[in-house]
Amino acid sequence: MDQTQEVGYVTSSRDFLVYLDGFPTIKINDMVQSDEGIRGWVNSLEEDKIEVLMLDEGKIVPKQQFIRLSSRLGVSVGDFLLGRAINPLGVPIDGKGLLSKTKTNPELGLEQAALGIESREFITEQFLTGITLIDSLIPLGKGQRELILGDAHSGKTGFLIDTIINQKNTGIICIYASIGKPAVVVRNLIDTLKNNKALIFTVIVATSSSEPAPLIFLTPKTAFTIAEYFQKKGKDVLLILDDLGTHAKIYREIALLGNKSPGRESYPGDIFYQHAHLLERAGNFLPQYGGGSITALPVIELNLNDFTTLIPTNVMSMTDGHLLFKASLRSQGQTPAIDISLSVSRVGRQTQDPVSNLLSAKIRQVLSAAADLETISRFSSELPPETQLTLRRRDLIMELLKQDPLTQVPKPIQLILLALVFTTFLQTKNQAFVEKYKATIIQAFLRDPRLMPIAKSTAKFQSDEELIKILEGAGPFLAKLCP
Amino acid sequence: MNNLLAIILKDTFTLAQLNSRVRVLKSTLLNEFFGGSQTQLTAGEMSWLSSLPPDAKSKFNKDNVYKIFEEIEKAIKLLPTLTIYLTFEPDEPTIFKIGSFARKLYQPNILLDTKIDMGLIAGCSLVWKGRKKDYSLKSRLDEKKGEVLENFKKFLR
Repeated sequence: MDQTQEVGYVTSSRDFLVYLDGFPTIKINDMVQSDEGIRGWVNSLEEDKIEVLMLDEGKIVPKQQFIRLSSRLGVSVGDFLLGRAINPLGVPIDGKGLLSKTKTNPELGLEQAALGIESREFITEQFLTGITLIDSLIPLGKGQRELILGDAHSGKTGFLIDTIINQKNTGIICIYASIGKPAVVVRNLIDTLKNNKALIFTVIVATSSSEPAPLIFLTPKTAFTIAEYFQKKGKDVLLILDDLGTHAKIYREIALLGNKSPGRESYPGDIFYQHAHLLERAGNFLPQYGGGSITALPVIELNLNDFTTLIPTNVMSMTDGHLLFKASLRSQGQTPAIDISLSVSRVGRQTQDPVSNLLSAKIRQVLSAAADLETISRFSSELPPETQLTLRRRDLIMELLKQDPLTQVPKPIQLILLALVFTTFLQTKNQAFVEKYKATIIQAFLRDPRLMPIAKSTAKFQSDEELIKILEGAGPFLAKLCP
Repeated sequence: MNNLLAIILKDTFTLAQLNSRVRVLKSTLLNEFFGGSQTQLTAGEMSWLSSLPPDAKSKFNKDNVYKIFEEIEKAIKLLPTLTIYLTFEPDEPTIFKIGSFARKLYQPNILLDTKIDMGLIAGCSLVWKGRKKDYSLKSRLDEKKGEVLENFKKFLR
């Protein structure tokens, strides 16, 4: 047995930040442990001292001895993680007992550099959320990074949970990183996913707000490491980071405690690097690099709907678009409360089929024309018939795009609903009619043998006009269904 | 003020001893210059103070006393330190023996930092520049754990 071991001694400490002397060959991201079993990881190395961030809480005294652990900062990954909730170090927190891992499960380092452009593939497949508004107007691609912005209570988390639940039977693996949220939020999330049978394909990585800052800081890194494991096995992964605003604040706390010079809003200079370094790990990969994809949805909670502050603008610039949720829209009864005019998807359009693409362009046209006519809309009865039609169509579209939480609208039905707006059947109807008969129409296209063929053949149409024409034929039948 | 430190180091071998001696000298000098209540010194401390050469204290005055001690404290932090884990608290003659042996063997101004670890059973372990070498009975037993257990099993019925 080798009797030589590296040790280090505490020279100073400040809250969870400890400076050590010793360890001649230590490297960044190595783990150290005190004689009382308190662990920490090496964050930076200086000429005469080692900066360690403590992962466990406990008493640190000057001259205390630390030993170097054989394991580096990492997490054991495998299919056993599905359906479980763990902390960033891979310790189960859901009260379901030990993880059923074996010795063959690899332990992956948390800090991985993102794969280069040689490993990436053009995003061609659409990521379906089951939510009409997104899948038609702001479509997402598999491997895209889409920022979710919004006030508190604007329905962000509800949207994310719906998106996870709607991935049932698609083979997509969902990973939810809950960063520094109250423990009860994590419990509710686990229960909701379990009740909707969505937990079996989901991994939850969570830290509660009471845990040490360095542990919270690691949450998204662990989530990405697990996502990469599934991606390398050829799986499509949905990764949700809820939320990066808290992550930035935690990193600011660590940096300020470590005497790093504060920059704008007191965030350290490398906060952009930290987030870009993380989000670059998402993408669509070539078969020789595993072949799967990681679709990342980072979340940022806004203050008073102001998205011009440092962190939202930073993350906006490193993602491929954003969805803006507004509490005011939600209180007006619009769910999901997404502001269509301020939301973008820079990648999703290329993944849509031609019919959806043409149809969504048409819908956008109506919405923007109606926005221009907004000021004169109050004189509705005296307006020319075309203008009245545009305004009525806008109301119909907005009503059709409303979707209750925990519901899914299949892709063909989404198309049919939006195409119906341009048929004579809906032309004369108002918003109240759609509100009353929306569910009936959806059920008819899903179950009625006379309408089902249309729903089944939407993918075969070459253009939106073709679909509208077919639906025109179904008008009289629908009129009978909705008296 | 490395001169004074060199004088103190001549018969001071451990870090704890060095810190306490510097503290005693500092409090005595501060008391001399600025008055106030002097903590009671032990016989050992008194005799060490009187053993200092008379010119060692003559360089101090009211203006430089704090500055000189600041420099000494800084210099102490830079001294090479050999940490020794022992199973007992060594007395003065033992420290003298180990200390002078280490100075002869390694470096002339090496300091010892003695710590007690009963878990070693016997022997000692040394830490030098972040590397720990275990020469204790415990490490030997751990090394031959299998063999020792095998032998014990022979006596079991």
